[in-house]
Amino acid sequence: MIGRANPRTWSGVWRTAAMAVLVLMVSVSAGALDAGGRLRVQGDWEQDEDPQGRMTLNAWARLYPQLQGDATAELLIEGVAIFQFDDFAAADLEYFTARVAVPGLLGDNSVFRARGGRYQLRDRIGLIVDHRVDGIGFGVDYPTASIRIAGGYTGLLLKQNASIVMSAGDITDQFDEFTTTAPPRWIGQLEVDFPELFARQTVVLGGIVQHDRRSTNEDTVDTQYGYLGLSGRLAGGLYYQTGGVFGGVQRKDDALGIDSSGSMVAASHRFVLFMESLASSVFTLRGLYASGSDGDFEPYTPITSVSTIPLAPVPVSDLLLGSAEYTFRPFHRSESDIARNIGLTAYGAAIFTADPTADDAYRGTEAGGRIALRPFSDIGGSIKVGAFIPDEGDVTVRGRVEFSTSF
Amino acid sequence: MSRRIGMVLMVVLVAVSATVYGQSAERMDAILASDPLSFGDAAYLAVISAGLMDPDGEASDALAIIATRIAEREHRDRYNNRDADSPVTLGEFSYLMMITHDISGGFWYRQVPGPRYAYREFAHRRLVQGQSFPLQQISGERAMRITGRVLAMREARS
Repeated sequence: MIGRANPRTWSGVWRTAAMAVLVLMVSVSAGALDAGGRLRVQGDWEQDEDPQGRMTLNAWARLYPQLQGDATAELLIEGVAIFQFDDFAAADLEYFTARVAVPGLLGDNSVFRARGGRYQLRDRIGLIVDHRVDGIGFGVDYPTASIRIAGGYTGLLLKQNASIVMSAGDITDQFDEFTTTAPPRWIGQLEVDFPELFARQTVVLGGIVQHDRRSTNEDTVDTQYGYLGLSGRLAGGLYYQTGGVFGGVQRKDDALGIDSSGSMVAASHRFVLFMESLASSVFTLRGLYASGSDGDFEPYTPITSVSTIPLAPVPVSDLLLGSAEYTFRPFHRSESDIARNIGLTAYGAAIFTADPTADDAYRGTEAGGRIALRPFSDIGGSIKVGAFIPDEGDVTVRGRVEFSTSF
Repeated sequence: MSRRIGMVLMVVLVAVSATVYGQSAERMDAILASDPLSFGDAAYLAVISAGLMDPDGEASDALAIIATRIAEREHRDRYNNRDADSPVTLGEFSYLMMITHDISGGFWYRQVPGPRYAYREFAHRRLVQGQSFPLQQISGERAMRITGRVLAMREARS
């Protein structure tokens, strides 16, 4: 986190750290402290490639300063150590988040919320950003609506602990040994949430602006997103979640004479059917569209990668995806905790380019399965195996083993 | 007190009362009104709600039952010299409830049984809600709510 920080930034960091130590001492003396850790190990295997392993160890402390009245506060300090086997080891500050909630500050039935430091910034429809930033956010909750405004900077994170890849410059920096920090981008968000607005359906409206802080002598990408989301229950155990994004993108590189701008769109829809009586079954159907470069639109460019299919790396850009997944717990009536929490999953996903009528639009299908184990509340693991069957070329088999525990 | 909180409290009280049917209303009123809840009253509530003692018993009887169950499980005897009148913590109350209601814990609870991992288990099962931490002192009203959730969980699993 040293690379791009200036002296003023460090002055702020030291002041914040001093405040944190003070709050820590007061909280410890009052017993208002909790602490723990998490260990996660992941191994990835791909046919004809060397296996890869990654271990992350998180240690956290939560402090609860005493406030007057019904107001509550929390300070979360969390560090992470990352070991990518045969590659790198890194340690970073995962979270340093102060939160305050004050009921009744902005009227009866209101809860004012503020947060600052290093925290997670995400959009509610899951198509744009889900990443840690250094910044602040404010919000107010009413029974019928919630409003949030938040902003932050990504350039103080270690690049090994970040997942923002929007431009060729971002990719270059990943492999540049002199670049230690994540892509320097400002992100601002305004989101309004109407919980159960009608017939128990929730509506989300929002906008996000992302500004690349690199010099225009480098490859820069600025983006803006407006989004709308709907979610709720349709009948019985059938739920849905849908979201759409319309945005703008500007790409500049003075050295290469690039100065382009355009629009981009993305949409996602998901049906989820819960059937507890049928071995705790969960059926999921999903459709995902992300614009490509077809004259009307630019390729969709999210700030962070969006989950597509379990194993093959498929970026959300110039993409039309349809997937189905079925999960059930075959021993859900067992007396044994270990057996009862075994989950089996089968899935399949077909992938096309954004224009399915174009020649060579079909890119391939991934099909596979997963076994998930959670013998105890604080230990879990899973094994995934899948095969990607491309339109042309050979089938690629991939696998992933995950284990995690919290303590 | 809002109507919603009052209704929740009534539901919890009915649930708890169904278990502790024979006890005096005054005793329950005192526990409900206490803030913070004492360790002795917490032990009484845990033991009575599990049906391990006659409701007319005393806190000292409840503590003796808990000491026996801790010894049976070969857990560390951490409450030998515990002042029954001092405030109970959320972690301790979670542990007392796990001991008396035979709630199984996670892997780390089985390695190091005690208030810390008992609280984690209760948080995982959403028996503890809202801002909370193991060393937090709790009121009698909050203890009643937690007890109500434990009884509801047991009812759902039986």
